Amino acid sequence: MNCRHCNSRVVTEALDVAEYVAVRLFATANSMRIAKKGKVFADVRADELTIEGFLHGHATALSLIRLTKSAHVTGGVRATSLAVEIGATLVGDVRIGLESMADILEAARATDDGGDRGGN
Amino acid sequence: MPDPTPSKDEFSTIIGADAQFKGDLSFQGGVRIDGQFEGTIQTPGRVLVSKGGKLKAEVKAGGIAVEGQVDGNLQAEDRVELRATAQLRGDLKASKLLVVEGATFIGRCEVGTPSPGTGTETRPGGASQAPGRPPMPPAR
Repeated sequence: MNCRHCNSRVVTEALDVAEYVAVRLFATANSMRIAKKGKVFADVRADELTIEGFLHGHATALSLIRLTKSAHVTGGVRATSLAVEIGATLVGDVRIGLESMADILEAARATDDGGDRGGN
Repeated sequence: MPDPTPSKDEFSTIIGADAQFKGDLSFQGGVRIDGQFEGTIQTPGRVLVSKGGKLKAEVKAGGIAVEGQVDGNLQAEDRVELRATAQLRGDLKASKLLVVEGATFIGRCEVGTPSPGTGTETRPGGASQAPGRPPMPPAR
């Protein structure tokens, strides 16, 4: 599926990362899980994000970011809600709540309303 | 295992809903803030900012729970809890963090890093400064 605005490819699969990944941006319109063995150096965007391993970069999720006890995150975190298990490490700027996600949610809603649904 | 969440009975100091307090507060026990507080709070005990409470302060405490509105930096040796109605604008440093769905938090966060109770001072004024961007790793 391609973005109707920029025509770039949009990943819609749920991602499970259990390896070393170093890219500029790592994104999916679905959920993403960085497993315990996962080591991600990237800006990460997903609908829902679960981090059990290591993330160095900014994380953005439309709904929830969940940091399990083994998670190590360095970088900004932006989401509607955040769950941090005891033992997790988080260092960075945090923007949590509907208010702080208003612009992204608005853009997502606009894309949903005007986008192709179930085409192709 | 004891519940680390402060119960409302454990607070020896209460700033009532109709009270406004400006100044520095330093004590050993716990404090519950139902009204408005401006200044600094320092205690090894627990601090609870209840639902109607408004805090404009630097807080260093053993544990902090927020249900109301906070503008300022929080530092806890143990746990910071942001409950569903919490609104925090400022920096946060603690061993453990709990953010309940519905809470708002805008600021810098340091959770789980060693020796949160001592050492570095949090920045006054809170959320304005972005963190150092992580270095770009080599492409795979």
